[in-house]
Amino acid sequence: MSSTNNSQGQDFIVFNNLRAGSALTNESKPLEINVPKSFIAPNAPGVFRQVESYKKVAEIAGESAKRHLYVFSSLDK
Amino acid sequence: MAFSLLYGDAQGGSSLVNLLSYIDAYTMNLGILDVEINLNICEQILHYTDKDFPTQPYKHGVVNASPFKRISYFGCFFISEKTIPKPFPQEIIGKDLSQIPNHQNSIVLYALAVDSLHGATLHRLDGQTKELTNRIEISAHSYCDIIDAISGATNLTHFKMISVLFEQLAYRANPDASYQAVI
Repeated sequence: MSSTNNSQGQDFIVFNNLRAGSALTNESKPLEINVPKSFIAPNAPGVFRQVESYKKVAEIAGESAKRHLYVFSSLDK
Repeated sequence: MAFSLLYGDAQGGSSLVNLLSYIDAYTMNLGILDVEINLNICEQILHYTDKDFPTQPYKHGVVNASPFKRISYFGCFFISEKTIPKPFPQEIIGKDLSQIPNHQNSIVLYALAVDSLHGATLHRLDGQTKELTNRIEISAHSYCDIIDAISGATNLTHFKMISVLFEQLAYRANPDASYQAVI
């Protein structure tokens, strides 16, 4: 997951492990979503005060996955 | 961590970003790569969770609903809409789980629910505020049963039961957060 911007000055967050699609489509590119400029700004004020939390969310998800891998490894393969 | 997915902070799309961030990192750390996800469904279920939350008997609306009801309402959509269309590989999740239809959405939702509820705040009817400081923990056996039990969830049939399920699991881990047992 990373944040970036394009030549039009739009900001994106890229989710490297996700592919946009449905059961009927196949996308090979990482999923990108458009976000407001203030979303990614490091010192974003006011209503955007929580948005930097998405990086914290990713950390928590990573830790959770490790716990679950431990459980999966104990199950019948 | 009780992140904004549970509290209707959809301004600027933070709920969507948090949801995608969670699934992206969770699946990558499991070693399940290039996970297909239906973005339209993600947007719709976040919208419905905020806008279509039942007003009867929950007259105070979604903003004041308990985190258990919020995650359950969202979760039933997440599972029933098959947000992640393709099953996870058996070599990672094991044979038992891989045989459960729609296991991929149940597995992600369960992890998301446990992490969302960890640290969530309860505003009880008696005026007390309680924080769920302890994380929900269950056995591997119970985990498989729950993944199976919620894999066919819909809002119509499972919303209230899944809400009660997470409530009781959270109270088991945080006995002081529960109302006094009387019956």
